[in-house]
Amino acid sequence: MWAKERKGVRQPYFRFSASHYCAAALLLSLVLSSGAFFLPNSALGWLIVIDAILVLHGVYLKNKVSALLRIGLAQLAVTLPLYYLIHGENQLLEGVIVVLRVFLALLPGWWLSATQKPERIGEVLSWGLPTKWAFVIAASIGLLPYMLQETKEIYAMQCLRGANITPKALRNPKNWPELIYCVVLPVLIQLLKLSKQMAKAAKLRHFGSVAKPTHWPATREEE
Amino acid sequence: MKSPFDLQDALFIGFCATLLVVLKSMLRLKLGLSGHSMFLMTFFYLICYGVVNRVGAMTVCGLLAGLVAMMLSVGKGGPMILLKFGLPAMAMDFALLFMSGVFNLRWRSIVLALIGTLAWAGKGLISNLLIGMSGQVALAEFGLSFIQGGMFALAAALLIPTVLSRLHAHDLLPNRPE
Repeated sequence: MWAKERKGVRQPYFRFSASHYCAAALLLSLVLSSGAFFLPNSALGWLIVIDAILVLHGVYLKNKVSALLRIGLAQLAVTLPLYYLIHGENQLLEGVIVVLRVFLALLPGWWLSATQKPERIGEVLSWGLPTKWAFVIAASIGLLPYMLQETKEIYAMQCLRGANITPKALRNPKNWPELIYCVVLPVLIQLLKLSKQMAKAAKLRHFGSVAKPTHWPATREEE
Repeated sequence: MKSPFDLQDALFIGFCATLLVVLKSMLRLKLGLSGHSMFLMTFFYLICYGVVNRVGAMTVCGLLAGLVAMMLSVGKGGPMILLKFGLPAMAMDFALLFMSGVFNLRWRSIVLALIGTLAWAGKGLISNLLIGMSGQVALAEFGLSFIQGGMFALAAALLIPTVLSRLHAHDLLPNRPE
């Protein structure tokens, strides 16, 4: 009875769901990023205002801007000396504008990742993706903790064995190949085994033989 | 995208792409040098090519890595990262079309690594020019990033034949890398 009533109330109108909102955010960040490339200098002010609002939104949701600022400063440190060397002092302002544009192109991406949940972005992306590749992405993200755990264990064991791959030894580039052979190679072997097992498990569950695959309900937490 | 890959290869490519993204995000904290991402990218793309042994594997790996990076919001995030991962992979695959069977594995991976770096640095050059940077400065930055990225990519390419032959020794590859 209760369930019926609730259903009756919810059905009639269209709800602007979280994934629609996320798709809109994705589009907005795409438009703003390309705006940083193609807008003339006179319109740059408006872009700065919009991006500033985005930054405020991101900071309001307790995200850190420091990493972004560091990238911007690094870009400035590379570009300005080059401008100074090649064009002299009077074109330094142009260099600053260029760096500003690069920074403005990065900001919407930061905002997107700061405000949107990864699973929502994944859902939006899966609208255009074939089932198999959506499954592959879901499987690899789902198995990520396992892969990391495996990598950590292999690393710890190789360290115990006495391989020269402790953080201190890795300061010397001569030890880098050892890291590849001791850690990355076993990880690759594990990944090959894992992919074989997963493919077999999925095939035994008739993966790929049904035209319209079923999905785990994705919007549970919003209900 | 009609996929000729069977599920096992597809999964392996997906795992490689995910590992690439995660390792890259871990490494960028330690090293300030630009271009070190080319090491991981070249390494995993060439491994994918060597294991799956098919044209298109690298492109798929690059695009998947871009998608995963976008979802995990690694690096600068946003839709641009798809191009960042995808473009070198596409260039490498495109080059592979013209040179399959020409060189041995070692030289092929070196040439592919350099082509990938070219595409990677070229993408920076084009975006810098679009943004209105003066041509000379953009070219200088292009040269700088090509040299840095090229060194890392070469180091990765030199490791590939050994790693592949060791994987073959574990009986994990369907056919022997030449």
